[in-house]
Parts: sequence; structure tokens; C-alpha cells
Amino acid sequence: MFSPDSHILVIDDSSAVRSLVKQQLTALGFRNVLEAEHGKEALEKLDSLSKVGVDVHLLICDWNMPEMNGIDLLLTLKAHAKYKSIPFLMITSESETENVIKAIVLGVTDFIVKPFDESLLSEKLSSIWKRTHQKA
Amino acid sequence: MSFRLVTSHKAQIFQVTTDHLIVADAEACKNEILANKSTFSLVMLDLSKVKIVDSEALNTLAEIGRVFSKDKSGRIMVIGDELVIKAIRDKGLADVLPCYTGVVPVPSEENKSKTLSEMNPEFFFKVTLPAIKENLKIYAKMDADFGKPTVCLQKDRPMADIAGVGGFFCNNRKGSLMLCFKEESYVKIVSSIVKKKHLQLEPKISDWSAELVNSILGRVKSDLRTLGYTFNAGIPAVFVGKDLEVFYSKKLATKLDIVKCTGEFGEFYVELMLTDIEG
Repeated sequence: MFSPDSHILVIDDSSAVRSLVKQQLTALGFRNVLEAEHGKEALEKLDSLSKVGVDVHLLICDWNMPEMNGIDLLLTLKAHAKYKSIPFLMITSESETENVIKAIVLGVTDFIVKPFDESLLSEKLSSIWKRTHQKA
Repeated sequence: MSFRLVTSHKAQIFQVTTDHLIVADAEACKNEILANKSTFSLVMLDLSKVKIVDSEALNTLAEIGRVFSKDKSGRIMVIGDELVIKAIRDKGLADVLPCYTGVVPVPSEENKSKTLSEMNPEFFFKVTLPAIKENLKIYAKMDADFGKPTVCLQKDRPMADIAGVGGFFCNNRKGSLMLCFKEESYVKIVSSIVKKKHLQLEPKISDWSAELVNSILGRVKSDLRTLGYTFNAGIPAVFVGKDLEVFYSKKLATKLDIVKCTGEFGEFYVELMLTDIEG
């Protein structure tokens, strides 16, 4: 499982969802939960953290956002040598098969469909950890 | 049992079109997937129609997952009914069979061809109220009961201090869904969601009225699309103000359909405006 010291970046334009996910992650024991309102801000945060030697271990990102949506952020990260292997959990209320497949083909690690609670989030994190750990 | 292969974005979907998945079916499914292994790297195994899954069949599906991803070149994922997904998780197979519930399968030919129910308030509430109940249950851990839908004039609508509203299109109709809360009920619900007691309506918790609408309409969209409807929703907005008044354009319906929702939080109202798309 991800270490409690893992840096997790939550990206969502809704402050409600950001605070909920942060609260859920804190309850699961994570101490370094960071927030960004959209994809552009997430990229800026990744760059600034990287400059001070901090690696982000997981991105939890909304699908629909202004500025840069979840898919655009995913594509940008996949083209980036330093960030392409960061696991990417997509939050969505868009649950059509076509969209899910599109995102998976583009490299999203897993999906979580709203509404979700702490136990489902924990299950997803555990599953992502095992899969990405096995691949390493 | 029958399989249907759908190609989409270089991925393949296996749709299992049977109610009961038994071990022989799973074996057949395994053989077909593994025989096609070299042609694709991602398989979505769509078990949405499966209501009962045999324990042995589940093990066979897990075996496909393990074999398919052994050389790390392939991924297999399951889309399924909540009970099937629960069975996979309960058996500890979610790691080899990553799964998604609530994912809407490609509408079946049966649904595409059947005559759709008229999109009237009664039908819309039938789809929407369970979505509201689910959201309150998962987010706030609160149960909710609903009254009967009633019709009221705009000027007679119940007063609210905060409302989340989302517009949508559905086939030949358009409308909006509004959740109207008095401060006391809203604060109780959000306090329960964020696990922090709030005593009054503050800007930092007002977003939740829109987020609830967003999540509810997401579920409604999924359910209606499964039934063969087209449905698209916009970005929800929040209205805040003591005893706020909201009026729709006079060109739209002057009557609204209202459902009262009650629970340990007190009460709030679900308001629906539904009208035809002109032209």
C-alpha cells in the first residue's frame, strides 16, 4: 500500500470534492495531501515540487475541469519523461463505457465513479498500488 | 452464453449476454480471450447483464486476468452489476480483475429498438430519486424518504436559503433539476459529508449543493443512457440567499414539479422544470 508519507495530489475544480477526498485520505492515514484546482495548476505544482526534490506518488484527478481537463492533463503527463509513470486515478460521473475505455487506453490507472466513500477509495488505492508495484 | 466483440479505441469489449455466468461459460470466455490475446492489449469484460456468478466461474475469470497480464502486455477489466463486482471484491480478486461498477455498457440492440417511455416528470423522478438517495447515503451516510410529486406554481414554491441547479437535455425535452435547502438542513447534510460540524451556511460549504446535483445528474445520465435515452447535463450552479427567489423564463413552464425529501437532516425539496425543445 502507499506509504502514509506518500505525496498525493488531488485535482478538482470543486472545492467540495477536493476537501472530501483530502478528508478521506487523511482518515486513511495520508499526511501529504496536496490540492490543485485544474490541470494547469497541477502541472505547476508538480514542477515546483520537483524543483525541491519532492516526488508525487499518486494523482487523483477529476475528469471535467476548466482550463485543462483530466484527459488533457493525463496526455500531457504521459508525454513527460518525469511524470509519465505517476499512477493516475480518475474521478468521474461520466461513466459510459466509451469514455472509460478511452481514458484507460490513454493510460489512466484506474477509475472511481461518484459518489464514492472512504472504503471504495481505499480499495482503489490498494489495487493501484499492487498493480503499479507489480509492474515495477 | 454469447460473446460480442466491440472494437473501440484499440480495445476490445467482451459482452456476456446472459443472466447466469457458470464455469463452462467462463471457460469459453477464457479461451476466446486468450485466443485473441495477440491482437489487443486491453479487454473490457462487460458482465452488466450477469446477475448471478458461479464461484468457480469467478476463479476462471481471475485466471484469465492472471494469464492475460502475465507478461505485463495485457490488461483485463470488468464492468459489472454491483452484486457481481461485490463478489469479485469479496473474493479478493480485484487486483487481477480491476472492476468498475456504475459504468454504463454500450446500449443493447434491444434497448435501442424499444419504444422509450415518455420523458415526463413522473418518469424523470423515478430515475432521479434513487440517485439522490444513493448520493445522500454514500456521501452523508443519511437515509432519505420522498413524498409524492406535486405540482406548484413558481410563486408558490417552498422557500430556500441555498439551491444547487443543473440544466439538461434529454431526447426531445430540456429542463433543470434543483435541490432547494433551508440553511439548517443543508448545514446538517454537509456537516455529515465533511465530518466536521458547521453551524451556519458558509461560502466554503456552498459548493456541495452543486456537487450533489452534479453527481446525481451523472448517475441519472448513466441510467437513462442504459435505457436508450440521450442525456446531457451542464455544469451545475449554486444560488445562495436568505429565502431566495428563483424564477424561470416565462417562455418556460410556469408550473413546477416538486418532491419533498425528509430524513434526519430535516427536509429539502427536489424541484424539476421540464419542457419541450422548440423546433
